Amino acid sequence: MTERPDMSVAIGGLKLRNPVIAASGVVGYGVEYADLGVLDCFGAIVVKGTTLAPRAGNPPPRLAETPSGLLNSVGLENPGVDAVIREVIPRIPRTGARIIVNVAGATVDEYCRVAEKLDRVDDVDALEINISCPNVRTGGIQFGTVPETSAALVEAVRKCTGKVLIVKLTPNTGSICEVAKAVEQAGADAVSLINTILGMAIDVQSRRPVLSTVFGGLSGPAVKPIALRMVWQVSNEVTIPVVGMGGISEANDALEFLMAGASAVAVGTALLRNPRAGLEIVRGLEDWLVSEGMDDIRAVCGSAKAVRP
Amino acid sequence: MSTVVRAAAGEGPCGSRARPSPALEVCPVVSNTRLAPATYRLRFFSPSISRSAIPGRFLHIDCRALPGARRPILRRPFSVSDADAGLGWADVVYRVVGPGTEWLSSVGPGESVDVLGPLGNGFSLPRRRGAVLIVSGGIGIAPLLGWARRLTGAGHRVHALVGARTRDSLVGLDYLSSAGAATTACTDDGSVGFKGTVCELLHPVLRRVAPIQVYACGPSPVLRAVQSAALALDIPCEISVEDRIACGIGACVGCAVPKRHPSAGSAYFRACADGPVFNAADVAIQGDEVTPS
Ligand SMILES: Cc1cc2nc3c(=O)[nH]c(=O)nc-3n(C[C@H](O)[C@H](O)[C@H](O)COP(=O)(O)OP(=O)(O)OC[C@H]3O[C@@H](n4cnc5c(N)ncnc54)[C@H](O)[C@@H]3O)c2cc1C
Ligand SMILES: Cc1cc2nc3c(=O)[nH]c(=O)nc-3n(C[C@H](O)[C@H](O)[C@H](O)COP(=O)(O)O)c2cc1C
Repeated sequence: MTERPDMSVAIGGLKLRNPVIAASGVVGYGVEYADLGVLDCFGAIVVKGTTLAPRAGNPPPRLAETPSGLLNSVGLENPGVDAVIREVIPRIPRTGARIIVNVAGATVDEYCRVAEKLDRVDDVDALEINISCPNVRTGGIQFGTVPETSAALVEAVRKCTGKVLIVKLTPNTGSICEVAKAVEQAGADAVSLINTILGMAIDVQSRRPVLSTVFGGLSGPAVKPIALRMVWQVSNEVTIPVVGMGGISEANDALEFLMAGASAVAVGTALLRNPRAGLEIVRGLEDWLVSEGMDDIRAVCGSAKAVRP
Repeated sequence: MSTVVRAAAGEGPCGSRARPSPALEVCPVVSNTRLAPATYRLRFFSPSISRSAIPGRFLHIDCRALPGARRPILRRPFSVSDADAGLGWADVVYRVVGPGTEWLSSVGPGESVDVLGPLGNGFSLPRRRGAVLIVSGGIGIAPLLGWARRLTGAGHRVHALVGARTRDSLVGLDYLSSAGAATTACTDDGSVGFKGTVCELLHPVLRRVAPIQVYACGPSPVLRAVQSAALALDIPCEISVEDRIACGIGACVGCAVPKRHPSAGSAYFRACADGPVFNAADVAIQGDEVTPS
């Protein structure tokens, strides 16, 4: 047998068997996709945004298709951290993929209390602090747009957990690099980006916005060039690992993010149409390494920067 | 034997039986028959899907696009119209309304469709024998065709109240009559049957048929009328709702159906996993968006 390349990567102290992650929100708690047999392939899965108290989420319609994109305004619907710990996490199938819980809140105190509770759960490998949800007024976006408040939040959460801390950044700010640097200094082990881009759609027949919330978060191939540019910029500014995402649908997209400086990548919207996308991307990355005569995925990270004149 | 308990199905008011995992399968097309100017019946072959394809459950199809059209970013949900587990086929009956369904209407035998399903719960049989009323508006007839066949097969007397805009969009009458259902048809323009909507005929038909159970599928105004009549008369009623559906398996919570009795922190069902069939008493029917009939 030919030797397979080494696909493992590290996010802070967390080792993943491969760099492909299922993005928060899209795969819920993983249970449903596991039934399809398509979760086994991932290096990690990020379960959906979890808050201190249960949240009902936004009224429908919560979805609108746009050219090569998807607008959503789910609004962090979730049963609350206690129910997640009691009823959901024990049901997440352990397939070798790391379990990362996405944490959201309205106040520093809320984030801290959720982090404290999750810190005590062995099955949780890392926390992704969502300072960037565009769909709830108090969904943390006020933290994620300003470097100082982002740093204060991360500093406080850092004191509540010894788990690997990934901070998820919003593209809806003019200062994503400053926010990234600030959260690195505040103790983040990694940053992930991008969350969705604020957008909207109008139904011309009814002359009304399609989404009940008027605005929603854009994801999918439409956002990929923007996400890629931000991953390139942020990875120039921080020394902690960057998890890149936004419109990744196939191995080639993942390679672009890795070459731009990401250590790992996440796949969200693409799974909705193609639940096999994770599997295809992992295989595609492996095959690409083999075809290039490379034996370690880590050598791809940032490689597009090295060849610049 | 033990029952499989799925939290996802726990809240679902209908079809609470344990569900097998859905298939994700590329299925050969058996036929794709034009039933009316813009309405087709697609039959594909999949023994595994046909086994659990109860009408009212749905199939999430990866629709491509014809040259020049945009490929949809999401799959497209279609109700199981009918299925035969013995022969291994399942049917969807659909109207062409946009790029996805336009593409679907172009596939034929020798080609295949990428299907995720069956998903959701499907209709459930009445608890006792008796007269049953099914009500449809427009393409809402799709799941009720196979369901009518299963109802008559289970010994129920089935009456169908079927509405459409015009003769050109009225399909399935032959299917219903060969299933042994008595049918009242109406069209907005009077080109077939009663001139008017099913909503206008609902009360007289309910009085005449005196059903022990009602099933409905169609645009919101039809569902609202059926819901309020059934609740007022205290007749058990299952309705199949429509929403935009993304993942289809209950993970992304993009398809929210408001509960009639919301509680703090829990105001919505998921159309895809808790439905798409709901007890009329459990859901608030939304919106004035008119689905083409
Ligand atoms: C559970 C379920 C079962 C369904 N079963 C059937 C079926 O058996 N037969 C059938 O013909 N159709 C069915 N539908 C509707 C079908 O999914 C849509 O017609 C299809 O997705 C349209 O895709 P398209 O790309 O052709 O058109 P699009 O471009 O997506 O849509 C065309 C027009 O219809 C509107 N539209 C599309 N989907 C919806 C929706 N869900 N609610 C309100 N407006 C919408 C769009 O806004 C647009 O104006 C079902 C939907 C659901 C949720
Ligand atoms: C339906 C949906 C729900 C999402 N929910 C969350 C969430 O709860 N928390 C979060 O941090 N990001 C959430 N996201 C954002 C994704 O994790 C991801 O950052 C974004 O969609 C870009 O990646 P993609 O283009 O591959 O989807 C959600 C995205 C979608 C489409």
